[in-house]
Amino acid sequence: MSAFLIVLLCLPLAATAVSLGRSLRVAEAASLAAALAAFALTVALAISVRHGAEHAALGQWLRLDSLGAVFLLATGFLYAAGVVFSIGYLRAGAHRTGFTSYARRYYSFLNLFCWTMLLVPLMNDFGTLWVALELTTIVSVLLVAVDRTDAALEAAWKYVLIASVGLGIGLLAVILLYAAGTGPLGDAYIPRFASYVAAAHRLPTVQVEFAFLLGHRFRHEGRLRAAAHVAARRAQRSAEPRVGAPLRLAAGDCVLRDPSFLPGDRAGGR
Amino acid sequence: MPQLSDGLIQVLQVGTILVLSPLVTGVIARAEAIVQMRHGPRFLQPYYDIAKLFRKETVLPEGAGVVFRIAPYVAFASYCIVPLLIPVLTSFPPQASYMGDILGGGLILGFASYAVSLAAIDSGSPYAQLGSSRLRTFGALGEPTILFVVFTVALITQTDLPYVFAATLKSSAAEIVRPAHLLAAAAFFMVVLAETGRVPLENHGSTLEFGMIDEGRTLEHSGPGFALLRWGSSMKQLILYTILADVLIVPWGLAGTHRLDDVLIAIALLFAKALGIGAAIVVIESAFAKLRLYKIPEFTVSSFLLAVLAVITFIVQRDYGETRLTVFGGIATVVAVIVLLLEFMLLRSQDVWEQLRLYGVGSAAIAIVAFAAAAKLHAGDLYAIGTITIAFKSLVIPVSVGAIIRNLDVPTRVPSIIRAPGAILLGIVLSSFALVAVSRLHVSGDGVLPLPALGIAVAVIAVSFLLMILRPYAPSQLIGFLVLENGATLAALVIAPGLPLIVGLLLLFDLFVGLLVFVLLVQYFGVQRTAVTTDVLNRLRG
Repeated sequence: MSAFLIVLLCLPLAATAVSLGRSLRVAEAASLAAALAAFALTVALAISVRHGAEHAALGQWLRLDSLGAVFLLATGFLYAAGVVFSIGYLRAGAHRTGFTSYARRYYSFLNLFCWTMLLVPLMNDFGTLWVALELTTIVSVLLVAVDRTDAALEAAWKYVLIASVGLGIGLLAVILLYAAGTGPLGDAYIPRFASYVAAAHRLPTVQVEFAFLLGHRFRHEGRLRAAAHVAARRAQRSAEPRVGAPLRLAAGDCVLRDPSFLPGDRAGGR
Repeated sequence: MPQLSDGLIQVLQVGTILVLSPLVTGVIARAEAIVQMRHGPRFLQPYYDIAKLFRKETVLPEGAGVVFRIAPYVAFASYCIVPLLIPVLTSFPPQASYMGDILGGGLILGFASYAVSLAAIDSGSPYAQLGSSRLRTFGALGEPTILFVVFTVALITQTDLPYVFAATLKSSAAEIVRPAHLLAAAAFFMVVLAETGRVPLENHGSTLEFGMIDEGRTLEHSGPGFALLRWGSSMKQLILYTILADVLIVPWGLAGTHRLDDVLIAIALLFAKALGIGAAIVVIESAFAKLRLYKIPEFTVSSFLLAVLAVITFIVQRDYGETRLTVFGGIATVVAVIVLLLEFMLLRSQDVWEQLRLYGVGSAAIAIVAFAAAAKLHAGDLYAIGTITIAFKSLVIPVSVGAIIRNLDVPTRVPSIIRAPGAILLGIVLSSFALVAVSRLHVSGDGVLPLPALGIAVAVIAVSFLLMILRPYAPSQLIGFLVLENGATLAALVIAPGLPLIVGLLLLFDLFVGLLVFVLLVQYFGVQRTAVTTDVLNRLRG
């Protein structure tokens, strides 16, 4: 099953590459195929980790447990639903000038975004988890601004501010947590969830709690982000009816991102 | 080498201040003129001025009474007494120094100023009275600032005798880089600027009566009385510089024995320290504009609040545990305090160019910390990359954001939602909260990590939120975010020596910020010439 993890991550990347090509038809077909295949894979993976089983790949850098599978399943479903919805939704605006390049850009960003979203629940340590969240922010900013209208760019701006503030605080939380672990785990360790759980009773309480306080703020940022999305969606609906789909998908991103620190909670709340 | 008695040393203390003070004033005036591409007066010009005035006759304003006539002598006598109380030349206290503590010295300085103000009122001249009433009004916040600075140092040293202050600071360099002490020194420096009538409060040596505060009071004086006042104001300046240098910043270089050569060296070093502070003043006078009169309370309020923050910092200090002083720790703490002070300047600033410059200076300061970390660790190539990244950031981001703003042709004034004193008060509250919160963390550093600097870094992050909230203007919000990123960088560098993963994440974060700024914002500002005030975003509300 471990190979499934790698295949799952390769699918959206491949679709991104194909979407950059000339043909819109090919882009649509590739996105759809990748999304449906990814959804099927997430279902298979979710079934396989039912009784506490875990999968790891790439030398423990990727890891899926039953908690992660819940979020992976939701992401996979939203990926598939988003792509299906986008195809019909975008075709409504097909008569416009420059539509083809717009749609190709849109599909490549969409696939890339879904790749980063699938990456988040598969991460096995706080460092790469943070990096994956960073990636989702960068790519979703591109996706929000894909229209290049006033409203889209303003929404992107608002989104950047809120999201990046959360990331800054998240970084501080990761740093503090890492520093908390240097006592029991040594100076140069990889901040895996499992090593925190193993060393939980030896971590300094206050420091870990503070890190998770910041982590909560980070999560709260997810909720703010949802608000920004809703605002952006409304504005864009009035200005440009075509881009509801990415934002709806991004609303799913909020749901996912919100509990993304859950594996960490196990380390903190020992 | 002959030994000097206590009495002779005390005469020398007063004599040094008496003789050197006009020279310090002259050198600062000349240096300032050279920096500003003027020729400027001779170094010795203040001596010639004083000598000339002593030969002139005294002209009394009509109706001026005895107060007006004796005030210059009272003031001059006061300025001659204060050097007896403070460590001018020796690190050991001569007998007369027990006459008064540092508050006593402050009272005598205040008395001199009070006498001059009384004389100004007695003269009946409207300009002189205006000067004295302004000085009282603005000085009302200068005095509590001095009190709080004294309290901070007194809390650290358990006494308020200036000689013991200096001795405690000298005993361990760790005392000097305490955040509490650095903040107190910064607050006192602002008071020195105010008390000596320097920019940003007053144009020193200007002849425009409307802008005068300190100098306005002496307009009606003439002859020997005026000479004493001029001389006295030079002495006051040197006395304040001496307190700043010998008590608060660099208590080294004082004579430890009664030997003549030690004392002579101490005199030379005192002159050098005074010139060092003078250099800072020359930079400030050349780089900053004078504040409008109504903005001056902002300056005094800021210095007062800094002093309050110093006391708060001291109170939470012991929760951080004892820290051993290292070169890295010292640099990190000093830079953290500098970055926090720059952030308060950002809170006050209403000009986007000034904000970009302040941000650039802050980033450069953080690059120094990264460099210190690189030098500390022998296998520090990652840190070396970090140094380059941050230094690059301090140049490239301000320049490119500036270029975008210039292209956009938008107003460069960035109004704040609330006024500067309120903003700074909120900032102080937030930083105190951050300091207290981090002090409860008990990060295990075995005394090696400069943990107070971590508290300050978190304070920088907390205040950056305020910066973003208070400015409904996209470029300023961007700067607020960049400052937040600087705070996170600083926190990581303080906590990270020897933790390569953290530094790796940090570099990624810098990269991320760079990507956001260049990819998205260039698109945002460059492609779409939309309004950049976020008020427009209100229509995106639900």
